[in-house]
Amino acid sequence: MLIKQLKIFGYGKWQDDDIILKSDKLNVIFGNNESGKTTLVSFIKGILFGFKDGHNTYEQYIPKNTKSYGGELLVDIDGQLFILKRIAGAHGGELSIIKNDSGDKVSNDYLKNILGPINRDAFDNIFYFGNFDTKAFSKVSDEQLAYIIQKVGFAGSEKFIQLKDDLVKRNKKIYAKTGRKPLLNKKLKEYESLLDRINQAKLKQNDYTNLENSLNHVKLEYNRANDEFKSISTNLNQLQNFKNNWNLCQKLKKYNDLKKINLPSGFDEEDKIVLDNIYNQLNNLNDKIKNLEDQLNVNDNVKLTKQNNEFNKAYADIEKFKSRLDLIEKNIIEYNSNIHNLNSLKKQIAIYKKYYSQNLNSKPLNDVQISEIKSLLKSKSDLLTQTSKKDPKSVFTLKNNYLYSLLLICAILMMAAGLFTNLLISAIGSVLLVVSGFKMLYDNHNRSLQAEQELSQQLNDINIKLEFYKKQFNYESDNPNDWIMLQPNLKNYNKILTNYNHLKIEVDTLLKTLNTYFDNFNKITHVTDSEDSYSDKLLKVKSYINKNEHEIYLYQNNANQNNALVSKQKQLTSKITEIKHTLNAFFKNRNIKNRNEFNEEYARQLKIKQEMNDLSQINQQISEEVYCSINKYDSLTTLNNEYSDVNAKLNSLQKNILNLTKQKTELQSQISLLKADGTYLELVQQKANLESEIIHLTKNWLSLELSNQWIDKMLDLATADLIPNIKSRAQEYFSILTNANYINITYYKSKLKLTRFDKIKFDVGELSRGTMQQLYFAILLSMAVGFSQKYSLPILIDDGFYEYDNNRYNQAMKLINEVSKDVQVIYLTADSSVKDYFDSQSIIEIK
Amino acid sequence: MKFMHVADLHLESPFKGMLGNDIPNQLNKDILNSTFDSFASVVKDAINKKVDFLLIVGDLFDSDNPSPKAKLFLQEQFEKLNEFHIPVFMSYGNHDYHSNELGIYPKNVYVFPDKVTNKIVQIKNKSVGMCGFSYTDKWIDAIKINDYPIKSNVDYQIGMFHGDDATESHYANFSVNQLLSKNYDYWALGHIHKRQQLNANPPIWYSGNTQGRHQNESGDKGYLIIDTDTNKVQFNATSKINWSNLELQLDNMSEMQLIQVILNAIIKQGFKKMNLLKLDIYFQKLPQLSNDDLLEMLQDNLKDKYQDLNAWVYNINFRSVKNNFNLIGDKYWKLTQDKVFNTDNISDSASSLFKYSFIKEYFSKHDNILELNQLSKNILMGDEMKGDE
Repeated sequence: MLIKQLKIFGYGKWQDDDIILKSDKLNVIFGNNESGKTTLVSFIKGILFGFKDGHNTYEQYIPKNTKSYGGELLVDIDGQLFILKRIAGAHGGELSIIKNDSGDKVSNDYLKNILGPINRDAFDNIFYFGNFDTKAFSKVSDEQLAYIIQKVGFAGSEKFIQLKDDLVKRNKKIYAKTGRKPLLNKKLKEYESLLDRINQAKLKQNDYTNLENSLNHVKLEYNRANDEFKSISTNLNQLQNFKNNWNLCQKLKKYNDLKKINLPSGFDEEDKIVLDNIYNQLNNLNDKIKNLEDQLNVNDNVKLTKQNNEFNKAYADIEKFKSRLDLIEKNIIEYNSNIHNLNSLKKQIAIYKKYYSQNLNSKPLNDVQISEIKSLLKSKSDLLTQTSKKDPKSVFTLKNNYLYSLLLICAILMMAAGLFTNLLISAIGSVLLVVSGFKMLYDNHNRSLQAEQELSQQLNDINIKLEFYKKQFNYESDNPNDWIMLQPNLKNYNKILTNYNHLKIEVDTLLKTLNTYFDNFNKITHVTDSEDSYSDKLLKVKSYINKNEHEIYLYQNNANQNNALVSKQKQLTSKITEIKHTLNAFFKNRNIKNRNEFNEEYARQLKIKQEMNDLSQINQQISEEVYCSINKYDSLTTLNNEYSDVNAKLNSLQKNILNLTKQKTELQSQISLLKADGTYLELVQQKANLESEIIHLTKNWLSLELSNQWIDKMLDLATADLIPNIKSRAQEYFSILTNANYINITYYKSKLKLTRFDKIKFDVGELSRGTMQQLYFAILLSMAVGFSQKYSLPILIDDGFYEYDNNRYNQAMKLINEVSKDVQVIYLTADSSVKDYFDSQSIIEIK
Repeated sequence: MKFMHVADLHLESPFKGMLGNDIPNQLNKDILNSTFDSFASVVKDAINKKVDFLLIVGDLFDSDNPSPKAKLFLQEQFEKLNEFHIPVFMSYGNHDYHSNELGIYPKNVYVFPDKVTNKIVQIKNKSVGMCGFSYTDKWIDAIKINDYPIKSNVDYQIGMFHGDDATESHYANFSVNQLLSKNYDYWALGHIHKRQQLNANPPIWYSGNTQGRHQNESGDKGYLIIDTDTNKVQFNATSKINWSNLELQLDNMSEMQLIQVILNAIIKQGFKKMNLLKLDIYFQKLPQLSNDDLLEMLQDNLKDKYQDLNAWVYNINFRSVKNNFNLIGDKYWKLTQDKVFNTDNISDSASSLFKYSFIKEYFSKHDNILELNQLSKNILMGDEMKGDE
């Protein structure tokens, strides 16, 4: 693009001004300070890239007279003329592009395409040379230069370049080599401290083994101390025992002597008991013998009487009588009762006789006879009544006259029937009736006569029988009924009579027996009298027998007793002799004479034995061992001393044990704490988690970093061919500027190196300020030229040479000329000496 | 007879890879106890199933100097087995190689010495041989397998080996053929944490570890139980906490919607036991929300639900559906990629961070470098995608 003309409506101090740029190559705009050169530069940039907005007030160049703002540029693009018009408006101003010849409007994109990636900044960096800032330039690293180059040289690179900025920003947040704020740095710090804690926790764990060892050691010591304590304790107890038994021991010593005494045997308690027994027995026996004697004396007084003797003599006979006593007693009783009965019977007989004197001779009738008589009587009476009554009815029964009745009925019927039928029949009937009626009456009469005869015959028979009875049985009365009535009394009387006779016989028998008995007995001994009743007699006999028997019995008994007593006496006496033998033997065996001697010896031995018993008890209280052990001490004091020594030892040992117990407990609690401690594990897991976080952040950081690098490398590669181009041109221009003082610009490890004519290489920072300026100028110009091949834009130089000396100035102007051969250059200056270097055609003066 | 085969208990080993600051207390406790709880379940099953013996093939502890708590725990568990007369045959591995100073175990426990030993015992009238050895150092280069005798004079021979079947490794290595040549009836292997079968008959198995500790140890973990009568090898899970991944494809939506969709997806899984989840979310367009922010919000939301859902999300990755890295000047990106994403450049760029060995180790792994590359692409594309489409 070549700028042909500037048309300013209103911009800064310019208003409705036109400035024509005559040359396609070099245009010099000369004007003093304050003439508005910089305003013009701003105007051009404003038309091309848009006016600056209100943020940068002083760069807006709003004219004081606010009538209009903006302007036009007439440009030549590839031979075609266009008007670029921009006036006040939003977003940098309202742009319109018009084809100059046709006046047709062209899309604003046209300008965009022309400009390509060149924006205001890019333009400022490449096509515009204002005040040169040494400091800034000296800091310019190859990166920035390359960066500038890349910025323009690669389409779409802005995005990546912007991204790079973004990435760097983000990167810094995550990590910086030094610093505490970024996230990763913080995490790393955390990590360091976590490692420390883990180490500590690990040490603690190692402590565990040490603690275990210590504990075992302490346990051993503790056990050892405990054992020692036990044995010393036992020892102490022993000594205490000795102390307690000291007195007993002494006693024991004394009585040990007693043991040596000889004691003859046979004087023990048992022996004494035996002896006592013997004497007791002897005494018993003597007493018994004495008793027997007394008894015998008493018994001598018992004797037999005369009567007893007599009795004994006749005992055989008496015995016989004795055996019959019971029977006799029974007989007596019977006799007495019989007598009594007999008397009463007698009385009864008397009474009967009194009342029934005559009749008592009759014989009683038995039942059969009575009944016969009765029936006879009845029959008789019946017969009699029959005859007296003469009852025709009794004869005249229907039974008897059955046939006749029938005939009669028939007759009647016939009669009746005949009346109705034939009178003959009734006549027959009536005949029949009469006939049968007569016959019947006749029969009946015969019959009744017959019956009468029978009756009287019967009566006769009966009377005969009755008569028989009367005579046979001797009855007085003719009326059999009287006989019958007499029967009970008769019977009774006969009975009584019989009984009486019976009884009489019995009584007589009894009397006989009794009398015989008692009389016979009297023959033996006169005991009974004849006046005595039988009962009394019996009693007397009985008592006689009993008395004598009893007395004899007593006497016999007595005699027996005495015999027994005597034999007993003998027994006892012999026993006594026996015992006395034993007693003697007893004494002999023991070499003593009597009981006293025994008792003496016994007492003596007993005393010794008792003493020895105490001894043995002491013996039981102290064992043989203990006794010997105690004896080893010469005095109680020695024993006591030893005791206190051992006691002291025990106490100190106890303290030691307490101490060890404490140690043990402490160690055990430490160990159990460690056992339960999961801290190490937690920390290890925390570490793993933190490592994951760190790696994650590192990944993010690295991806940003590497993306950055990648962009760089990519851009490097993409713009690689550009750079040699620019390099060689820069070298050329620099050489011109420095009048061949510096002949080479090289890139060494992406750093600029300047080679002086004498082949010495210098870094950029080593150059003098002036030379640096020149280098800058050379590079920028070379870039501008380089870019302008793709994006042809004019180069604007806004008087940046005021620091140059004449020489340099010369060379600079030379270079400008050179450059303008390839690119349109617009050089604005206030330096009037410019007129010397360029012809007036190129110079535009502004006021 | 039947016996159990476990290995790599790694008691006290921490969980790695969990992000987020606020792990709920109960979950934290469960995590700390997870390795213990899993082994306690193993012991409980051994007692309930009345097994004839238990094999533990190395790495019982995570380090050669375990804490008293771990030592005591193991002792207690062994005591329990002792009560029920269940013998234990164990060896130490490359992590807990401190030989026999790690504890005084009850008499039912036999610890293999460093020399290869074939221990012969009588089990139910059968003679059973168990051959194994313990590590005394972190690495073993000797070919230990050569010291194992060929089966002879026993009814049943078991080989226990804690090592690698890779061709080159610092951990006693072997080949399957070498194992087969010994004619054993069962090979109980340890060291590789992924349960796998190397041979069917005779069975050669890695039982895997008993509790996963990071995302590469996902799925159920537990023990193998072998029945010699049926020659069946069966796996039973005892892990209390499982690691798993969940992939979701989502479109850009509001934060609350995102969270709801994620929760629904978790509920759908119907986890029966606690699962630690990593979410890989594929987007058409990466959202404004960063994955870290989403994780924080999700974890906040899960705090009162995680026990019901049996799930806790510990990491979220965003991925772009568009796999190709489509930027202007594609060729320049490709050409410069390897200059940036290599171990040397990375270690230079992060030199101050690489003094931490765990960071250095992590970023030395090729996969992780690829991930950095992917993240970088996300950033470069994301930026572009965040703007115009």
